[in-house]
Amino acid sequence: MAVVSSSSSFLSFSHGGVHRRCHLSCLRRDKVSSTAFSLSCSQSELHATSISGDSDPVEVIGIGSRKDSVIDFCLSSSLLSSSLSRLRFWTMHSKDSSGVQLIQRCQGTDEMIRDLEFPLSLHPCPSTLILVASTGHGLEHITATELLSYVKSKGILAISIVLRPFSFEGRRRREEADNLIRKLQESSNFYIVIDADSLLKTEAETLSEAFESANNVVILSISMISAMTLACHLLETSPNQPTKEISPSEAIKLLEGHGEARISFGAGYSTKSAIKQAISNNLYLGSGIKVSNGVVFITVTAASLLEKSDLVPIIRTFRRMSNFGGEIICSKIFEPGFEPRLTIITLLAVGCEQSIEPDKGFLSGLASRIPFLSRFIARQETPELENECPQNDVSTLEKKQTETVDMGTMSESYKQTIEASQDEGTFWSFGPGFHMAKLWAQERDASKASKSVDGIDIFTIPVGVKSSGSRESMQGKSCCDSVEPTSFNAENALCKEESGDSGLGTVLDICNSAVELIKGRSIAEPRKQGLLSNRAASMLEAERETEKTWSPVVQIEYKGGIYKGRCQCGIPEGKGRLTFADGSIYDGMWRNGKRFGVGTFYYSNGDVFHGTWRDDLIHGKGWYYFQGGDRWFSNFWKGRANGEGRFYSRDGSIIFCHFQNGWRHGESLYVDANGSRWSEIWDDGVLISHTALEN
Amino acid sequence: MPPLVFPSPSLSTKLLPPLHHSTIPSATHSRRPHLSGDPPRTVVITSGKGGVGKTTATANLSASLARLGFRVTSIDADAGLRNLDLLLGLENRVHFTASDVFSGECRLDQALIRDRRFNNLHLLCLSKPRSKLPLSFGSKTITYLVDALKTLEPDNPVQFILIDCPAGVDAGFVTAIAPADEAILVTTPDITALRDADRVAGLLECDGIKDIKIVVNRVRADLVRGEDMMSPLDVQEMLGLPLLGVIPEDAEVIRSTNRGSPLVLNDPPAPAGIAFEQAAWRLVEGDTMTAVALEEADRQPKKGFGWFSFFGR
Repeated sequence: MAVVSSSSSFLSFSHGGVHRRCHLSCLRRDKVSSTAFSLSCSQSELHATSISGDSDPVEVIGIGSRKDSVIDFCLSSSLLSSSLSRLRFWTMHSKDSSGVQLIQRCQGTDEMIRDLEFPLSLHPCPSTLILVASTGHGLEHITATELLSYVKSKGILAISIVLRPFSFEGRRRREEADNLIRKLQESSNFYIVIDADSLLKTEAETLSEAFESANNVVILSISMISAMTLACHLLETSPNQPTKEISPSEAIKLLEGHGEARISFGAGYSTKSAIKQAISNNLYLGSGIKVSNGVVFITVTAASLLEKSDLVPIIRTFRRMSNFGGEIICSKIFEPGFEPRLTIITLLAVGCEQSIEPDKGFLSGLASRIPFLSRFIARQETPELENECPQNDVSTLEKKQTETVDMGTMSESYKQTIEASQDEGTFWSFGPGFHMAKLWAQERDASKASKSVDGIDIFTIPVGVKSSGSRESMQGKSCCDSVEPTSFNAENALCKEESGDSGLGTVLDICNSAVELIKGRSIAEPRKQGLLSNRAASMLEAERETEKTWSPVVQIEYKGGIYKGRCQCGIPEGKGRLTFADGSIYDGMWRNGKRFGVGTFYYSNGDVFHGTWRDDLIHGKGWYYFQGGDRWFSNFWKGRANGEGRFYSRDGSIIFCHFQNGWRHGESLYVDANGSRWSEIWDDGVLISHTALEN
Repeated sequence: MPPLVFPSPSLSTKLLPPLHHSTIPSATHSRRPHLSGDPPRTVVITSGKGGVGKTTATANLSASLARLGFRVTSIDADAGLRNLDLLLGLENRVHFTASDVFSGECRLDQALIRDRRFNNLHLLCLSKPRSKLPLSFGSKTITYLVDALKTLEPDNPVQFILIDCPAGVDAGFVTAIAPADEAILVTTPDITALRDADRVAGLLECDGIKDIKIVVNRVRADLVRGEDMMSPLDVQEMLGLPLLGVIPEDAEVIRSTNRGSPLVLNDPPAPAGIAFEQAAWRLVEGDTMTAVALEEADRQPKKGFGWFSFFGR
């Protein structure tokens, strides 16, 4: 590998602050001379800043072909909003042959370009340096490795995250990655390898989704590492040992020296589901965590302030789920920008061997969860979420944790069946139009259209429940019924009057009676040769095609909106799309001017209904995708839910119930996000009884 | 309209004494029917189902038309299996066919075979089945051919071109109907022929031939009376197309085929021959008939009462 010669030029990061000016300047190595590193900042300052201090920056440097996309992803993600102030992103860039530049990437367009040279001058002194390395970095890895080893020697935490190349990138890149990993073993405290190739193997995701999930992992690991240096953590050395607090440097010492680290994450509305997902995220973690002498570092990210006591049950749950017997270090991150009960658990496992297969319940349903996950992580709108932090959130969290502890007493087999059934339920609950519905919800979010009702029934969550003030609702939304407003009914009645075959019938009657008078016999008298000609007539009827001939696609104004599709006699018939004035769209089959057959209705608020229609109303079976992410499958009769229905809510709870005339009626089974089952009896939209089902 | 055209020809012809000549058009007041439409008229005789009597109808109609004095050219558009020459008795005289014309071996007028009995009847076969150079005919080819036929003799132009269509609805059918302006749909009263005729009617309408008339062939009056066979009225009602002629079942058809002489030239005329004559008359005049249901089951033909059958229903 050729070493690039360079001329020396000075580098100084000068940021405004006066107090702590530590300069690290380094010279680019040339063929003859060796590196000359000089550190001019005082050791005590360095020591102080590297351990504590919230304002200590964390430098993240990216090299390789994916550096720009990864850094951009990190910058635009909402996950790191709280720690964004601490993070500084740089990408390494070879500037001809004269030096290496570090280009700082910030939100927005301003970039700061710094020349990187040894001796380094970094101000203020970072607590951590993270190298995000993807393949295709050329010779930058030399500089990067030097930087890391230098920084490590100065006592700053140096961690590298290696993004392994995909299999289609070729053998050379793989070897490059292996080389890099070998080098990084010495120069960094520990390194994390992210291998997203196995995601593609199962063909559960497209390439862009695989990229996205790999980037998610990068973000989470950055956030976890930055948390590592922040505060004190909780250590539990082995199962059932009392936990004790350790300082970050001790934590780091524990994690060091084990070699390759693997990272995994899980997200959910309860800690238990988050932990389960993190453990079963076997694509990154290998096939499970063996009972070994490795160390696992868990961070819990939530919007609520967690106490140390909250972390203990988390550790216990994790141990129980994964049968892990080594040391666990647990830490918490406070992220105010999250949804109220969203919890993200990241696991960093060092020194763990690949192991035997875990329970089958963990393996299933992962692929279906990853798109579910990306919705949370990649969402942009944080401002409104910040305000929604209900008071009782901490208490519910505690309640859930006690619940999880109680669940430990249940038998293993039952837990497995719950988990398996939940996984199946999630999988089957994606109806046919699910992906379309997701896109429509995102589009309506983006366009932020007005929420006017155009006369078509809009269903609200919870479905089929009559409003009552005392009823405790899961999402805290007010209930209203699902009857279509009266304006729509009037429209319906009007349409009926216009279509009429009654005129022809009366004319025929008159003719028939006249013929009877004149000819003295009734025309309707059956002829003797009825049977033979009947058969022939029926045969011909079957053979002949109806008067449906080819009709072109036309665009007309219809019912206040624009209809584009096929018409017959001026009114929609066949396949067509009607776009209403408020932006909602019906795309599907029509007959005689009314919605008939299979069709999809995209509401203006982002909901989507895909199902069968009759006489302009929802009739028959259909899937209703709420814009928030809940899915509802039900039978309908003339616009109202009637018959059996299933409601898959976005937090994982499932309701199997019956409807009558739009209200919930009869027996119902409610499985909540943790898997506990409740049997309910409803009467016309009002809950009568609600009993827990044991076993 | 000559008074000899009876509403129910099948019934009346049975009771006619054999030597009654009044039904033969040429012997009565008007010698020739009035030609409607612009000559030359191109008529395709098709059915869809095979064996219902297309070639018989073509042969007999063209013979009738020739006897009425019109200049007729009949074309056997079945490129694979030709039979029209057999029915007309001209099979030994087919030397050149239309495929020879297209390959340049002969002229068009050399390929036309003139009937010995009638000077104004010509036959054109599309190809010999055992020809050494199989030439596939397309719609454009045959349209070109028919156009050439129309302009062949400017001083004695052809007035009728009858095209005998092959069975089925495949390429041969499509080729044969291409040059035609009118169509005669031959069918028998059974249900299979009815279905095929319905299909063919649809295809003809799609192709642009709006003038379609039906000939119901092989009608057995005794079965119709016993309600075992559909009456021509039923057939016409079901297909919804005007009726050109109703031909009764006649053994004479087979004899005349084997003899090689068209049925209509029989003297004394056979019932089927008379029906064909009447159909030819209607074809020339552009007229249609109305079929009437037979109502009486048993009617003893008594001597004195035979006359009433002409007036009764």
